[in-house]
Amino acid sequence: MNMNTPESKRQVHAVSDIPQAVAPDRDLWPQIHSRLAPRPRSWMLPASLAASVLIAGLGFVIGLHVRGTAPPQVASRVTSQDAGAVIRAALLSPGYQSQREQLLRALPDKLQRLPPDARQRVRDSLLALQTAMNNIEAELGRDAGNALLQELFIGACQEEMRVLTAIDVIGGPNQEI
Amino acid sequence: MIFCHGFKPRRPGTHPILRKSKTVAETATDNLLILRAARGDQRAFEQLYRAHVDRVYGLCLRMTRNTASAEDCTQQVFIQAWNALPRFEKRSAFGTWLHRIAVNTVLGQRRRSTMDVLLTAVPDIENVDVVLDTPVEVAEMEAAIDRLPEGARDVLVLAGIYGYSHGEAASMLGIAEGTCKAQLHRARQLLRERLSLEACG
Amino acid sequence: MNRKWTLLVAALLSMAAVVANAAGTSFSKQVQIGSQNRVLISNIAGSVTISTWDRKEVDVQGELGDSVERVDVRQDSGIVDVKVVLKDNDWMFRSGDARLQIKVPTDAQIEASTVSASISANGLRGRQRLKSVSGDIRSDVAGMDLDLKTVSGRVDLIGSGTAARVRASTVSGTVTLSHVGGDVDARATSGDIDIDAQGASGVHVSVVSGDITLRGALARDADVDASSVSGRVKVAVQAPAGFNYDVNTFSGAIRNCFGAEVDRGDGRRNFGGGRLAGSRGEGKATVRARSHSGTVDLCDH
Repeated sequence: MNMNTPESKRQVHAVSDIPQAVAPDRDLWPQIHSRLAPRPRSWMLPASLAASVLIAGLGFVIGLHVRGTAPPQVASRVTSQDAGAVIRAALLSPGYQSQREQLLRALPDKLQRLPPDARQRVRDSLLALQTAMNNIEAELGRDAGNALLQELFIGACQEEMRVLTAIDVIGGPNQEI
Repeated sequence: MIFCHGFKPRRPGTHPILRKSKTVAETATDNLLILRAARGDQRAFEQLYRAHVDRVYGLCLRMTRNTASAEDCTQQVFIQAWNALPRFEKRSAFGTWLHRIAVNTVLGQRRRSTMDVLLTAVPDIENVDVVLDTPVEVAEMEAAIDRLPEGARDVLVLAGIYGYSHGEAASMLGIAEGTCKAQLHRARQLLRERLSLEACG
Repeated sequence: MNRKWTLLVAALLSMAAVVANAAGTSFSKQVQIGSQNRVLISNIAGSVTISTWDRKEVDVQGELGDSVERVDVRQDSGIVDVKVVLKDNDWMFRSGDARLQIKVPTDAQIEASTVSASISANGLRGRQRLKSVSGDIRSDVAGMDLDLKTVSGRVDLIGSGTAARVRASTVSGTVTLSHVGGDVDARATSGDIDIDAQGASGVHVSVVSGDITLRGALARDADVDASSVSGRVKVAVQAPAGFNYDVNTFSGAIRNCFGAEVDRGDGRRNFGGGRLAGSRGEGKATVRARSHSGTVDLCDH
């Protein structure tokens, strides 16, 4: 089949004819509206400062090498102000996110270095962890202010970081763990 | 209308139907709404939402290939936009700014799902989650785009459908401009191959 | 005839060589313990067995597999370093077994790391840092500070009820801590954790999909925190002056043996879950348990 026919070229150029706008099947505004944080009158400095402090605090907690449990007071400090988004924003803070990405990039190679039976068990564990995080996050999406969910989510993220770090030390021959 | 091997039209009602909507030009009204929303006016923000949701949802849908994920993505975009609106400096158009947030949101979700991708065998994705009630040609195009590899699809969606330049698309996706061009070339090649294969001869 | 005898002797010698190789190479070395009283041990596959003696020396005995190049035993900067070196880079699936028996001074600080070799330690009073990728770790709590980590192996710790700082973690293996006192932190992703406490002052346990079983005796002002996502949490502990308890689940069931009623909340909990909070006895200790979808069982005996 000649792949450079006028017909195929015309079809490819029709990509730009595809409508950019696609209406969702349902109105998403009510759910969005319910999660918009009210802005205080003088919103600029206090809100951004408070958000920065909170996000930095959460980022610090989540980015730690795992030792000890997620302190309960972290969850209680997270207000109803769209806690799920705040937690996610904290997770996307440069330090935590870059460390996590680095560990994930190295993960396939590290897994390959495990003995086969160990590799499968670790993969199963990682999948269980990922499933748990997805489930909690989904619930957070519906109930962002739930302190228990926040705490469990942070704990799961810490656990993920602990696991990735534990696997990351796997090296070549004679490498100390 | 003859459908060839590899293209299976969906039964009506089993998949979301895409409708054409108007695109929204940036206007002085938009800027005024942005100003009011930045000060806390949620009704102003709702108007911004109404004006831009279709293009945001369209982008989310094409990048996630899943309506539930696209809805989540769209909600996230507008919530993040509300939170960041006071810092929006109008260096780009508001719609472009929303698209940047959308791309970041999708990429962030993909990163969080990376372990799933790394750990599970991912078969070739043949399922098409989207169907059009528009002319077949566009439907076939969407289906073929849907089956592109992720990197190529992202670039084609941003540059081909949404008209962003190579530089803009590259910046949104966090890749080099050269990589963006290469991906776009690859996307077009693959589209040509697949559409040619699906055409009856 | 002479030729036949020559061939027979040659054949016998060859067989002897094969047998000798199959039995592995023996290794033996002793060095003085360094000024830092620290011993680092690194092995790939096989086993590491650590015991104590009353000499200020480190004694290393071993049986080495055919892929083992050598065992380095060095004392440098006050630290004794025992390292198994394999013959080439293809270490993963070769039979690079080294079975090491190491004697150290009782108060030596030990850091042992292996890939698939098991680690067994007995009688160590100094700090223990024992890590393995897939090997099992077994130790006893003779000392004050233990850190036991494995990715897919088991962690088994036998205590004597004396206070110690214990950190045990695994990803997919199990953690079993018996007669442990002091401050205990145990984590697993999909493995189970079983803790038998004996006067523990702090117990922090976390799993994702494994089960937690915590039983035994707590210290008077103990602080217990058990967290699971989908695994079951079973806490059956006693404290001299009772404990305050706070159990919270999103959708998991809550059960208790003392008849307290679970608060189902404001109607959002109609799919399960709830909160159980109160006191037993004087409520001096604290027991906190939470779960997303796992069941929590709480009992005070």
